[in-house]
Amino acid sequence: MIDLNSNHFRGKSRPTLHQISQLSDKLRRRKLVGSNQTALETALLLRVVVSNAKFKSIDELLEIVKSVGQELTNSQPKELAIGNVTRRVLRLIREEYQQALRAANLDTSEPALRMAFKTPDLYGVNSAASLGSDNSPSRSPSSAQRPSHPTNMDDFNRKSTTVMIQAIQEVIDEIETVYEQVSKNASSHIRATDVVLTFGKSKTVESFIKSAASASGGLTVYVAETAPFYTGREMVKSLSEQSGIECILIPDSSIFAIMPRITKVVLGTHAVLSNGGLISQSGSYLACAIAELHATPVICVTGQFKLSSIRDNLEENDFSSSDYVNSAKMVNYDDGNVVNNVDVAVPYYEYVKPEFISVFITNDGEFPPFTIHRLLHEEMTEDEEL
Amino acid sequence: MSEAKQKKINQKSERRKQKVEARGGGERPEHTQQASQHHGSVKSDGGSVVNSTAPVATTASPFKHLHKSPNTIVKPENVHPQISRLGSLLSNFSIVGANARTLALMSGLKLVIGSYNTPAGTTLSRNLLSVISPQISHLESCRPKSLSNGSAIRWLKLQIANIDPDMDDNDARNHLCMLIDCYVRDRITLADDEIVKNTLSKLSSTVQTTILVYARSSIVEKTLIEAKKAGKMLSVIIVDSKPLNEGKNLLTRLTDMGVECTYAHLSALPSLLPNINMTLLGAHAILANGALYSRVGNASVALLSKLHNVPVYALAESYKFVDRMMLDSITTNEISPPDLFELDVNGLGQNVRQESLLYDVTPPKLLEAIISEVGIHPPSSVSGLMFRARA
Repeated sequence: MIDLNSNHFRGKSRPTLHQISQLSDKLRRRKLVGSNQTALETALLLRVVVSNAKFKSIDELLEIVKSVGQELTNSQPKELAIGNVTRRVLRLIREEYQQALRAANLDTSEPALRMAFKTPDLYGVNSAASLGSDNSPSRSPSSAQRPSHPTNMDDFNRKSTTVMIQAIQEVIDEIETVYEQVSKNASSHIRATDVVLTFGKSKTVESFIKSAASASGGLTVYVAETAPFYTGREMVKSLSEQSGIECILIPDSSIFAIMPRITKVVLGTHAVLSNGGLISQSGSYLACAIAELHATPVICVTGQFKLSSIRDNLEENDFSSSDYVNSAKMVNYDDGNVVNNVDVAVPYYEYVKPEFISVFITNDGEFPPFTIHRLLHEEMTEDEEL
Repeated sequence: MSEAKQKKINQKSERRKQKVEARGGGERPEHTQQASQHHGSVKSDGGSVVNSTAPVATTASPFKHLHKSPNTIVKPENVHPQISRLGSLLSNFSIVGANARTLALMSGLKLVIGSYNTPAGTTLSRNLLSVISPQISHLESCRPKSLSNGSAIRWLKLQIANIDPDMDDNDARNHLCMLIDCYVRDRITLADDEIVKNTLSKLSSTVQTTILVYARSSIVEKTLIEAKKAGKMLSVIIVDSKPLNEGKNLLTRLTDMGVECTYAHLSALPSLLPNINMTLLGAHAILANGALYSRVGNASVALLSKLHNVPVYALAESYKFVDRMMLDSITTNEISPPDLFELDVNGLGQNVRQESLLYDVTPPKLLEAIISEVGIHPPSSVSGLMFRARA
């Protein structure tokens, strides 16, 4: 891990450092919450970083991106989307690099790029294959081993960053269009005769249900109010804006009673782990467990940037335990004696096991829970340390 | 109630209806009517009409049958003042809980019986029933009677019918009051002591036991306090939820008694479960198949406990065993009155409703055992116990 310092952001690029610390402050102070926004901001920042950073080699660029990702993750370890987007970007940078390398091998009209890419012991890159493999020793670089080629580097920077920025832009576009992409097939799962239960507030779920309702011409939706945060109320407000959706707000305790009438449960999530489990707003486990008892299918709608690699699973069992939030909504000072003597537990997230989920609907298609790790393998370098 | 007064009330509600229509709420006339009718039953004089934005079930709602239809309200006639007072306490949820309601009902009926005189030409065993019935139907109009109330009333009617027609009025009154006292003592007070004893046998004095409880049940509360007094090592996790948030009262009570408590919302329960050793639930009624009919949310607590292999014990006096079956929680249930426990209607759109039930049915397979004064039995033994009690 390298230190993010002024060496990489000299001269006109200096404001980038400020941007990085600004975003990490926002994350630390919880000004920026929710995986979608976090993912978007991370991708935007990485675009700026890649276009402004000064680097001498591909490894150095990768290290810079990684350090930025690390910095943001440290500011807010709960936002797994930061790591996901960073890993995705790292993967794309590598792919672009490989492609450029292959092109350079074939096309001699770009001597500068070829020179830059073809110096094997400089970057520890002997072939495209060893580049793609994540365990290759080339990924433990020490800058001292690398003699610099100042004449070629400027050219290398200019040409390669353009394609890399284009690749990052694709990630940004993907995050921005995730709602439309997830909901485009909603009508193939939800029909007018369906009665849907949803939980908490999720824009992905909202657009999914709205799309299903406009395709089917009408839908009954039960929304659990999700105490003590009452995000369900906001959900009801935004769902009811669209005509044709009949919304019924119920307390969380009534979910069990109403479940026999529900035909589909639709859930959003904070993150999807590689085993297919969820890190989701607390209360999701309850809804899923009740659905399972009644054999009601549970649909989880999510953008692909919420898929998190295996490394984050290590703490799945005590994930919620480190994110207990303000208890003022449960107990306040009017309760007298109680305030001094009672533990009040208000976890924000909880782990939902993959057995509860019937299908994941993502912007890239539909998957059963046990294929998530395959997806991750395709999408990003999964054991990238961040 | 005098006819003039009734006319005045009718005019009042008519004016109100017009006002609502003028405000643009005309397309939901039955809603206003229902709200005013409901409040009419709260105040026994039927006079005051409170402004309410109670949502009403549309035709598609599975809860439609649970909403009170306006014409079932019985105008209070020949109602004993104490019963009328009890009615308003029930309807504003000042008296909640199956035991508290049964105790209140029995003491109310004792007063009715105490002030009863058999008119000439009839016998007490026939005429008294016709005096009791309007009291019951008045209470029923205030709040649907609990299942255990039903069995208590059935028992009382049987006792009245069994009174020897030759018995002196005074003797009969005393006899019935004595029977009621015995019923309350045997079926509730002494039964509770026995249940506490049975439950304490499950708790250790040397190893810390973490007990999960939901909302508030008189018998669970009593058990926990007695356990603390008996020196059992316990800590309590109180899980609570809308619509009634009764757990808060239990929390205050237990904290005052020095019991170590954790308070959490139902949705936080999965994060707490790994530390829990047993779950104690109160009962509104135990159904013939051993299912638990109790405050809404109990089924969720039992399910989550079961998923984590935490044993779930339902504490119930045997008078709560009822000869009924419920296949789901919707067909038989009670709607929590929206004017008392509104979630938050303000700011919600036109096509948004709120529905909130008061009870749910916990399937017997989620229960480890039912602890009653008769002993600790698996849910499947409930019907057997009921047959034995009948014999």
